[in-house]
Amino acid sequence: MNGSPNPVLSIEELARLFAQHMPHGRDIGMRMEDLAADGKTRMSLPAQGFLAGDPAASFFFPGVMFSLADSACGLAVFRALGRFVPIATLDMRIDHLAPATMDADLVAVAECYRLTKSIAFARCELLSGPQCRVAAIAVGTFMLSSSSAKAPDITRFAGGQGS
Amino acid sequence: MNTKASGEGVDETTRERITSTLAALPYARHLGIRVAEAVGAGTVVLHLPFEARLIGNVTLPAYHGGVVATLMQVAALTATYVLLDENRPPKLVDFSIDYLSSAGPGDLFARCEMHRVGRRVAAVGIRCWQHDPDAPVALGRAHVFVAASASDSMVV
Repeated sequence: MNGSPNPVLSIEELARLFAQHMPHGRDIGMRMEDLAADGKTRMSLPAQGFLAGDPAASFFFPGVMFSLADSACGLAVFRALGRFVPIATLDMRIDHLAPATMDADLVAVAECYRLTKSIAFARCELLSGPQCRVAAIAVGTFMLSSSSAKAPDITRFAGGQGS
Repeated sequence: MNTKASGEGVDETTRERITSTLAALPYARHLGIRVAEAVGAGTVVLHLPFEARLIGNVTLPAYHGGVVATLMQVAALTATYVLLDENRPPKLVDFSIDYLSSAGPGDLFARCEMHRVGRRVAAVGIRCWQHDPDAPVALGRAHVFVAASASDSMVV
């Protein structure tokens, strides 16, 4: 990674690599689907017992949905940018319209609906069940780093934390 | 503030109640969320030990934002559950998070403040930090549905 653009790989390939190699996404089983005709970014998450929010494993835990929405929105921003620059989530809000049942994969459909020089706005629907009903809606704001803008974070983790 | 261990003054009943609540949340168990402190119902501090599989940004590196959010959501739900002293699991209606800085390799902690506890909905503020509670990595707020009938909030 290291922020250097790779001219050989398309943004699609980079997005897929990012989605597949992100440790948390791998840990819970996130998958990026192919770009659909509507231009929206789709990610899916197979129902597994450990992702549940109830002992009977009937419903996805809200935090699982948040993770999928955050990732899908981030990938939607990358696609809208057409290049792979570091982005940071500034904020995100999620409304839970209905419980997300675990009788089918959880699906996130995200789009970046506004892009400025430094800020991207994205939103995401989370669909659950065989009928793909909308279980939650997430809206987030992302900050786009300039090529040198991640320095403050690096210094924060590089020094002073010997323990 | 002592966030490393259960200091003196720990309310054992509250701690047990939170521990059993966490045990009943498969995803909280999967991530490894545990009780750091439980000094009375209002002061529940949850603790998430760092693991490489929780990383979302390998370049920085930093926790995935969804993991930070999950810890805060679990904190809001368990704090509400403990406060209500009932055996009905509360439900998350909405959740909003502001990321103040990225969360690097190191443990995470979260604590709640009950802004308002109504008959049907509780408004909860959540603070998440790594080294210093006064330097949070994220702030959040949630509405948690607490009433008996699920049909009020979750019209299916």
